Amino acid sequence: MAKTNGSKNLISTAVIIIVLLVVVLVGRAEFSKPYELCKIVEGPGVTKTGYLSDYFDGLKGTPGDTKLYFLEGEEPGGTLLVFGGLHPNEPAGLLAAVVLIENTQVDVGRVIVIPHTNASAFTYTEPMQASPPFFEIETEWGSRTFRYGSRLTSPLHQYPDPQAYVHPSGMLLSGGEVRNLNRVFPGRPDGLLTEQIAWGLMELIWQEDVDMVIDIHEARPINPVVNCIMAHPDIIDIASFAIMDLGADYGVPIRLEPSPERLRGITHREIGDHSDALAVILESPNPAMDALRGPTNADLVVYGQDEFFKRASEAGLIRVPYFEGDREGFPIDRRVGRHTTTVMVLTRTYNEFHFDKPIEFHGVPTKDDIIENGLGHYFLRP
Amino acid sequence: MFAKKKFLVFMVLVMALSIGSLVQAEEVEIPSGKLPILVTSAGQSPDDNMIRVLATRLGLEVKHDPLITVDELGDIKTILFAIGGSAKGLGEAGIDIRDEEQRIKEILDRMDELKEEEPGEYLVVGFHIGGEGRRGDLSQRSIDAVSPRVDLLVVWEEGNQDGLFTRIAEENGIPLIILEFVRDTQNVLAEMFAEYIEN
Repeated sequence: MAKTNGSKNLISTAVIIIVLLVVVLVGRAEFSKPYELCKIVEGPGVTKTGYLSDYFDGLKGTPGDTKLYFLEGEEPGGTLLVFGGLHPNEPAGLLAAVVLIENTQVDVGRVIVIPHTNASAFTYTEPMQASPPFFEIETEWGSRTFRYGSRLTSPLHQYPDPQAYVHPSGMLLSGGEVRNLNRVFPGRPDGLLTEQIAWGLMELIWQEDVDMVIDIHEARPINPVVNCIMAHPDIIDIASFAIMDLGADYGVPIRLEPSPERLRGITHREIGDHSDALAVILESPNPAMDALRGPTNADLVVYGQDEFFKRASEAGLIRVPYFEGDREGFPIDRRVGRHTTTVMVLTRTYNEFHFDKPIEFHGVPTKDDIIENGLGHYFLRP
Repeated sequence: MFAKKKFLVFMVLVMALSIGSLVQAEEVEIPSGKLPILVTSAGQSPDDNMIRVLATRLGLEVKHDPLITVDELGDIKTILFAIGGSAKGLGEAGIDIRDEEQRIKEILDRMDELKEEEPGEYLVVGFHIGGEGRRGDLSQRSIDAVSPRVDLLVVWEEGNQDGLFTRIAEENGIPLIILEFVRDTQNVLAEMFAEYIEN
């Protein structure tokens, strides 16, 4: 009898151990998924790649390091740097960067693209927001999966937050902003991870003598600062002309927003003040990050349709159009197309002012191209 | 150098084409403006920059001061107001919308006096070129402060979808030009200051 009980215990223990092992192994695989950023194909225009840690070795081996894609023309000229995914919960920035990497061919000058500018913030979604961890874009050869991340650097990589964040300028911000890459520029080489990422990006700008920086974001549709270019004062003329051409020639109505001198830490303000580069931020509407939204899922990210925004639009409570023609919502193809077109027109306008350091490229789809052919048409097969 | 020349030729062509394609201008007589020109803001949105760059592209010299006060007007003959509120812009300027309304009122009062003293010499034009994004409560305060008191209203159609500016123009007997594109602002400026633009 005692022997039978002993055998039963042994079997029970073995079963429990096996179950635990399965749970741990499956859980580990699931837990590590977020660390696999979306695969990006090096398009025909990519001439080399590198890492941010090549410019600031303090980032080497950290979750803040990220891959850079260089697209170089045969003729020398100026250098354009594009940030996507600085806020990974604003996915049109990531996708616009991927479209640029996989389609752009540079003729004169250089384009450097960073798709996962805050790589750490891609590894989790914001708690209590029900954000989908992934979303898919349909292509002609199947679907392509992208990561939907968070606004802030992961607390697993930078913890704890201070009660208040003191920006290098002396400006006080709430403690959580110390993980917001768009509040810590120009960063500190000996600071916390997010500050070091900002410093690495500044080193890249300084060492590569970057002429123009375009930082692609998204905003809540109820935010007054959306469908706009926020421009550093040094690039206000270029941005003004670009805005007028975008509306008249490309069907991209967009407006100019100021760059407050006293609100420190934002990319375009600090890059413009601390380097020779001209800097702007672009914003498009993303309903998945807005408190007004209903069900939050990958469809909302991709198709941007939501009953509450529709009602808000009909009531005149939001200042970005919910309908464009007969298309409803804020679909991501329209948002990405808005950004790629703006990058193209800003660069063209930059060339009108800077004859000595032109940046010329082709292959970038406009908003109309993307709407006509589908966003997936511009993604290469990994 | 060659590239610069090409650019200038391009600009002249753009100007020529622009002047030839005035939007709705056939229905509205655009008044002539006199120099010196001031470009200022009503609401501290940065849209005044767009008016400045277009005027500059036409070869016009303009004084640009979004915060100018009535005491600083000097010998200004034409004022171009960019209408539209921006909380960021007001905050950056360190003022609130009531200060802005007061500044605008004082400037418009002064221009009214000058117009009475020397009819035909002074001109005030209101531009609303920020579209739907420059509507809402804050912008409405700037719209109310300026629009009923100008000699001409120039409005991008996106900002007039509810007919607000059409109503203001009708109620106050103000000529109104609706623009299909913001860039068409240049056409209006080109005709307004035709005598000062070198062809």
